[in-house]
Amino acid sequence: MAKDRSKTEDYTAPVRRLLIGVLVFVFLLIFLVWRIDSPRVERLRTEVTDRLVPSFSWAMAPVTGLAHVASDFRSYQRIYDQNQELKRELQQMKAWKEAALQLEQENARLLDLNRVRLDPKFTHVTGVVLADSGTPFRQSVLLNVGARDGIQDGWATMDGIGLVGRISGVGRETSRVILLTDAASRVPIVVQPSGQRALLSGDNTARPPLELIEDADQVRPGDRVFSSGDGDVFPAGILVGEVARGPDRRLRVRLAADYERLEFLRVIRARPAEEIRDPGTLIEPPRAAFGPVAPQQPASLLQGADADG
Amino acid sequence: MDRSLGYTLAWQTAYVAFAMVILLAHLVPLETTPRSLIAPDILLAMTLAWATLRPEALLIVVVGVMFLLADLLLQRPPGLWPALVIIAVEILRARSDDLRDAGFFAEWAWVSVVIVTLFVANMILSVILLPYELSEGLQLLQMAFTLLVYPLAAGLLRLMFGTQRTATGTVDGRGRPI
Repeated sequence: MAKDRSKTEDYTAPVRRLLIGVLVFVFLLIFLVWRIDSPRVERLRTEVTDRLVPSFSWAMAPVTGLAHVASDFRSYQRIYDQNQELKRELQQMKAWKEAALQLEQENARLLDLNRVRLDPKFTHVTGVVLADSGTPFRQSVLLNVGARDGIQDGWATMDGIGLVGRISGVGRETSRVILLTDAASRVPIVVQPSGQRALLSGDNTARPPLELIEDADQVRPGDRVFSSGDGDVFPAGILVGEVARGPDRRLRVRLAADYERLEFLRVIRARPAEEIRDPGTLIEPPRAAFGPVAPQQPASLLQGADADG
Repeated sequence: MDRSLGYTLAWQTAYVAFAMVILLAHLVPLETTPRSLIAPDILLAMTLAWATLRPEALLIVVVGVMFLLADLLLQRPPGLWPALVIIAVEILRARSDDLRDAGFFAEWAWVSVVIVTLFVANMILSVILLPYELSEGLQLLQMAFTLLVYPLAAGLLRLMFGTQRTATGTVDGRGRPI
């Protein structure tokens, strides 16, 4: 029997080795193709996720629900501390409320003075979080809205309060949101009240650092951070969070969105950036801010621009 | 019917079901904040235990496909890890007879060497080939957790397969020795 066995192995071993070789080669080829032409393979990834994950949501939803119940239960144990903390915060909030009311009135007056019309095209689609990235190396979530709902790559995503991330990878029924905390996330922001522009670059920590600040001395912990709209990546003015000084002395951002509980996310419909294609039929806005006006322009055109401004 | 075919099919179904449960457990949206902890690679531990315990009940193609699926679903670079895992499974399969005779601690030690080699190879290749960095600390932590979780996976599989080892000289439906 032992002889028989070795004979069989002699017969199958080369075939087997060939199979293994082919398999390893195929996988390395996939990896190589991904490394060279990442978008194509990422589309395949989106497609596979799109097929699989929604069909398993019946299995995942109860588990998610149970886990949330458990974490809720844990939070009951700290209810006394929370109560004290809330009372303290309420005191502070009362002061803030006064300030907010005054500011609101002032804002209304100023808006009235400026005749500002807030953008009516600012609409959103709300999606439910289906899955997370599944690994601590990447920070992303999967939403149950996709191309079917008109979602497009690059749109901003927020929870009720602040910016959460951007859409990257849209399937038919699902889309992936790269969170601000992901190491690949870069978002142009503006720090208020100083108006300093910077880049919020995720680094896989809960508080992403600010990079490329114009003048770091003007940015203080506690300053508010908004999306700046630079580079037409995001609409401007979405709240991101507030500046905090990290233990490594770097300026970081405490995100306003509740990352502990991402359940429902709003995908902001971005308007396509308006392009001026045909200078012949369109009067361009005055360029005064960027330098002297070219003297060749007809006087009537200049006057028209001045009357507008 | 062919007993061998049914046997293989049944265990492949079981393997795929296990793998899907593990993958979905990873995907449940509970970790939306960056964590400094990482789950062990249970799929790897289970696959290696399976390859050591019952190599004849595991099709290498199925292993490859499941690991590629895991790469795609878990946002990992696709292809590199499955290629390494397949080689590891082959190495363990070739030694599976000796390992089963040597007792559990020898088996664990052997598998540990394989797991460490796997992770270190993956880390080196990642540093060279990937466009972004992965935290080495987390990867080492995952390696350690995977080593620790291996006995659990092996124990579970032993319960599933039964402690009775395939007797020497047993033949399958086509008269080939198992």
